[in-house]
Amino acid sequence: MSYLNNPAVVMDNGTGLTKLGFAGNDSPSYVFPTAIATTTGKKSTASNNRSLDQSMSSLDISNNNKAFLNSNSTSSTNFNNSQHSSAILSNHLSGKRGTEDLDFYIGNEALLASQSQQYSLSYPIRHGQVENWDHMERFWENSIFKYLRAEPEDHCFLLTEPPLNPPENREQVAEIFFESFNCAGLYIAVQAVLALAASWSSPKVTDRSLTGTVIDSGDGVTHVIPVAEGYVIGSAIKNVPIAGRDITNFIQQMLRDRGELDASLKTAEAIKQEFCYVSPDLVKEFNKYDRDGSKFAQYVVENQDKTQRKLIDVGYERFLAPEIFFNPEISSSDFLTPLPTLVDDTIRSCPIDVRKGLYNNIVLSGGSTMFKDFGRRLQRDVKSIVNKRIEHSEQVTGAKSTGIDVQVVSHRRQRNAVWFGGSLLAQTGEFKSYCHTKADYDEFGPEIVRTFSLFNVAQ
Amino acid sequence: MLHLPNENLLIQKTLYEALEKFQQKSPVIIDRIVTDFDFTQYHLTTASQPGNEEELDESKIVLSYRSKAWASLLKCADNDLKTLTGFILAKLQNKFTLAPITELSYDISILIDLNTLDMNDIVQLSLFKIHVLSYPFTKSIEEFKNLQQTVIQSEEEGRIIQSDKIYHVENRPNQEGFYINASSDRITVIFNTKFQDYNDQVFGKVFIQEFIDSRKRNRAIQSSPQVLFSNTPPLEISKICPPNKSNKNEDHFITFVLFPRHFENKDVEFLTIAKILQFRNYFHYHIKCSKAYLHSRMRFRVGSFLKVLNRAKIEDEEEANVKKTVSGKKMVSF
Repeated sequence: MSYLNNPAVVMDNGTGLTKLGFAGNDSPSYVFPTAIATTTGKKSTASNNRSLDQSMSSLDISNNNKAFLNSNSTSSTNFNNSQHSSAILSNHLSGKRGTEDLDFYIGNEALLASQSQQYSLSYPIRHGQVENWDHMERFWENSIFKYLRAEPEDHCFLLTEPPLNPPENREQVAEIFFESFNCAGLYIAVQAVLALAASWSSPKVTDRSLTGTVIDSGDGVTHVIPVAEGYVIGSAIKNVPIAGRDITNFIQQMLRDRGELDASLKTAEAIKQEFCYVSPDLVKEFNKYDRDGSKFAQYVVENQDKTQRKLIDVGYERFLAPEIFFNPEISSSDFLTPLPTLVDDTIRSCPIDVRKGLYNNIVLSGGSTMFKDFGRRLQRDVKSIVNKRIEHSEQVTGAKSTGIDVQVVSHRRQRNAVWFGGSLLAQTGEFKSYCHTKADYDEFGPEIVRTFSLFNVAQ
Repeated sequence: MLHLPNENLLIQKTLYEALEKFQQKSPVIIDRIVTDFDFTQYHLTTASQPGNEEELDESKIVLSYRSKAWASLLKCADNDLKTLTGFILAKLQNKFTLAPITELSYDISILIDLNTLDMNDIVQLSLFKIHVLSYPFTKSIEEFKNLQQTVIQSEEEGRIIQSDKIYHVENRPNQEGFYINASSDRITVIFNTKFQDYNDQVFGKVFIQEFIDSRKRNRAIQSSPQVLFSNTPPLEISKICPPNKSNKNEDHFITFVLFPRHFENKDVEFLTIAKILQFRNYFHYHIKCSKAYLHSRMRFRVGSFLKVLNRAKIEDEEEANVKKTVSGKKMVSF
C-alpha cells in the first residue's frame, strides 16, 4: 500500500513569512507573507463586488501576464461574479446571511487584494505568536486546501512554534487542527530545535546531537537560544534588536548620505543580498578599499521597461552593514552589546554541565546570517572572549584548564533552516509514531499536546 | 475565496521556474515531491542521460505520478496498460513521451522536454490528475453515444437502454470512490463518501440536503446536473455494491445525473469532469470552512462572556473607587 504513505506537511508560520511544503523536499514549496486580506465588513452589493473583480483582474493582467506563476496567486477572482448574483436571486441561507467569512485571500494574493478598498490586510502572527486565531484558522484552511492541495485527514502535520510559546497556544493549535481539520497526526516542534536538526546537513557536524546554541536572525529580531538535549533553556534566551531590517536601513542611509541616484529600500535590500560580507578586521578592510579600487562595486537599477539604467556605487557598506552585529554602536545608540558577547553571556547563564556542548555547536539560522564569513567571524570573536577568560582564571587560580572548543556551524540550508529541519525529521519513517493522532486527542483532550516525545537523536 | 482551482499550483510553479531558469541558460536540478488530493503524489526530477544513469540531462524533466485510483482505472481499461497510457498521452496532445523506465513505486512516468515546453503545456500538465481520471468518463460518453444511436435506429420512442457496464473507481481507502454508468439518455455518476468523524457526518448531511434543495429553489442554476442523496446504494449500482449492514449512517451516496448538454462539446465536457472529480474535496473543504466559521463565532461569544464576567467581579473595599473600561480593564489613576 505504497500510496498510503503520504508525505507529511511541514508548516513554519513566522511573523513575516510562512514556509509551506512537504517533508522530503529540500526547500519549502511556498514562501509567502503570513498575511490575510479580509473584507472590511461593509455591506457590499453585487455590483460593487463585480467592479472590484474587474479591477482585481485588470490588476493581475497589468502587473504581468505571467505574474500568477511568479507569485502564489491564481485567477480565482472571477468566481465572485456568478456566485453573488445568484445568491441574491435565491432565498436560501447564504443569500440572507452573506458569505463575508469566506471572502478572503492569503499570502501574495492578500497583498494584491489589499490595494483595493474592499479588503483590509492583517498579519495574524505577532512576535512569533498567533494573535488572531480566527484569521489564522482561515489562513491555514486556505494554505492546506488551495496551495498544498492536501486533504488534512490523509496527512500528518509538523508545525513550529517559537521558544517560550505558552502551552495554551499549543492547545489552541491542536483544537483547530483536530476539530476543524481532523488531521491525521500533529507534531509541534520548537523552531530552535529544528534549526539544530537542519545543521546535521553540514559536513562539520559528526554527532547528531540536539545540544547547541541557535542564533536565529530574521527580518525583525535576532534570538540567541540555548538548547540542551532537545529542550530549550528558556531562562537564558536573549534577544538582539538588530536584524535584517536594520541592516537594510543602514545601507539605505549610507546611499542617501552619499546622494546616490536611487536610494530606495528595494535597492538597499538588493545590495545587501548581493554584495555584503563580513570582514575580519575593520581598519584593514578600509585600507584595502583605499589601496584597491576594484573592491568598489556597482549595482545597476533598471526601471520596469528596461529603458533607463541607473548606476549605483557600492562602497564601504559592503562590509560596514553586517558589521553592526559586531559593533552595534555604528548604527544604534541604545543597544551596544556586540553579538559575540551576547552569545557568551547567554551560554554562561546556562547550567554549567551543558556549557561545553553549547560552545561546541553554535548554529546559524535565518536569512540575516547568510553573509559571507559571518560564521567565521563569530567563531573567532567568541573564541577570543572565552580564551581571555580562561587565561585570566588560570592566572588567578594557578590550575590548568582543559580549554573550550568553540565552533560555529554554518550550512547551505541556513535561510529556511527551520523548515528544512522539519522536513528532515518528518520524512523519517518513525515520524508518525511521534505524532499525536486524532484518536489520542478524542481520548485525552487538547492538553495532550503539552508534551511531545523528542525525536530519537541517536540514529 | 472558497474556490479550489482545477490546476495543481505547485506543478505549475515548479515547471515554470525550471523553464525560466533553463531559458536563462542556468538550468537547475530539481527533485520535488508534490501531492494532490486523494492519495495522489507526483515526483518531478531532472532526467538522467539515456544510457548513462550517473549523468543528468538538464533539458529534460521526468514527471512521475501515482495514485490510489490507478488500480481501478486499469480495471476500467480491461487491465490494458497501453490503452490507459495511450489515452493519457493523447489527453496531453501527444506532446510528451513515456519515460524509458517508470520510476519505482510510481504508476506512470512521462518525459518533459524543456526545449519545447510552453505555457499551455504547463497548464495541461498541472491538470494531469484530471486527465488521468477522466478515462472512465470518456469511455462512458462513448458508450452513451452508441446507446443513443441504437435507440434512434430501433425507432422505439421512449425506450431507454442502460449499459450493463459500471465503471468503479476507488480513489480512497475504505471503498470510497465513485461509480459511472451510462444509459441511452443520461450518464449517472454516484459518489460514495464516508466520514471518519461523527460531527462531520452531521455537517455532511445538512450540506447535501442544502445542495439538493438549492437547485430546486434557485432558478439560475437549474441547468446544473440533478443531485440525489441516499444512505443506501442506489439501484444502478446495487448489483456491485451491497448495502452496508453494520452501520447504515456511515455511507453517503450522492448521485449526479448528467444529461447530453453537460458533455455537448469538449470544453463543457472537460469542465463537467473536472468539477465532478473535485466534488469530494470541495465538499470536505466546505465542511471544514463551516467549522472554522462556527469556531470564530464561539470565540467571539466566549470573549463577550468574559467581558461580562470581568465586570461582575466583586471589588475589594480599597478598590471600590477604581474605574473600569467597557472591556473590563482597570483605569488606574495616579
